[in-house]
Amino acid sequence: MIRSRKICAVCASAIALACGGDRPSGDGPRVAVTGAAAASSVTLAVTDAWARPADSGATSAAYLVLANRGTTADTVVGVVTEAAESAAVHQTTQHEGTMHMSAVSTLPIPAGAEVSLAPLGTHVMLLRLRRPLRAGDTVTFGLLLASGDTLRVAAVTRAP
Amino acid sequence: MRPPCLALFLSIGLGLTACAERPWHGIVLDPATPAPPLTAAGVAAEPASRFTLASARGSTVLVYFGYTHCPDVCPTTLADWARARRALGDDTLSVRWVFVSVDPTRDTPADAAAYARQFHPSFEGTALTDAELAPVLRDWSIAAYPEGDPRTPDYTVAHPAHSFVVDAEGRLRLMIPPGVRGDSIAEDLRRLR
Repeated sequence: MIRSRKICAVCASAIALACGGDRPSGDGPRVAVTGAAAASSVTLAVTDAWARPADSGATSAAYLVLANRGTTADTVVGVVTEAAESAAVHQTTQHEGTMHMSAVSTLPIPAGAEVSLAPLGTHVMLLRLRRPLRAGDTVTFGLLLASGDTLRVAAVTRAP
Repeated sequence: MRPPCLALFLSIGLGLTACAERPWHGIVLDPATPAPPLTAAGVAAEPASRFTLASARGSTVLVYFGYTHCPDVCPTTLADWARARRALGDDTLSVRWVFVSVDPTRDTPADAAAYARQFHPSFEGTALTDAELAPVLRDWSIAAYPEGDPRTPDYTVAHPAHSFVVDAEGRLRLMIPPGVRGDSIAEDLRRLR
């Protein structure tokens, strides 16, 4: 069966704004994300999506919590956005006192699991922004899933 | 002495002991050694306005080596610095907060200064030149280098994880790991004096 539907995730600005602080607590209200097709067993929810302010041409990072409430695992395999010239999932690691960043080609979201993209860990890189991101602005991007779906995310920019 | 009094004294004693042994949030550098300079002698003519540790003697100085295209660790650290500064309140006047770029290909001192000011208007920034990078990294015993293809615009830079704290006498006293919250940083800075 060819799955052509798009899962539409809406992370309400109010939720992200209500979280406060620099690091999401992950205990805010959830916005359920369901596909249009009842046949899908993947149900993903996005909460606490926020991005860092950055100038046009600069790099921003976005963070969010992904919850898979379905019975089938899925995997994030890429990022698409109109907001930046390039976007990717990256991971920060520390090795012998030095911080490194590397691209994450696949980010599994197991069935029933919650995956947090948070500061000093996994994050969405928005490279060479096409316009500045100021506090209060919303930036949208799509997480490409191995299932063929695209999970749309709206992240609110917060002052650092 | 009646038992309740003994219990009271014991509890006060234990409480004081606990206070005395309260751990630092950062890593204490003991013995404290003179902080190396943030410039390399003789490799470049320094603009008079550029930050130097020698000019900051008398102040506690926080130093973080990063780069302005850094989207995750550097802003997390500088946001924690900003919280620390707010937590210190009036105590903050003798503290200087300095972001040092280790990405000479993309960052100028002005870029680094503008980046630091986004987090707090009092934060300072400077950038090492190509010629300064190797000697400064060697003197500080730290590593920083491009990862990915530095001919492309999207390379990242490996850089030190910790913030360094230099005391008013110019000695390296603390290394603060990434992720330490602002109020904890403020606590360490107060205790350092």
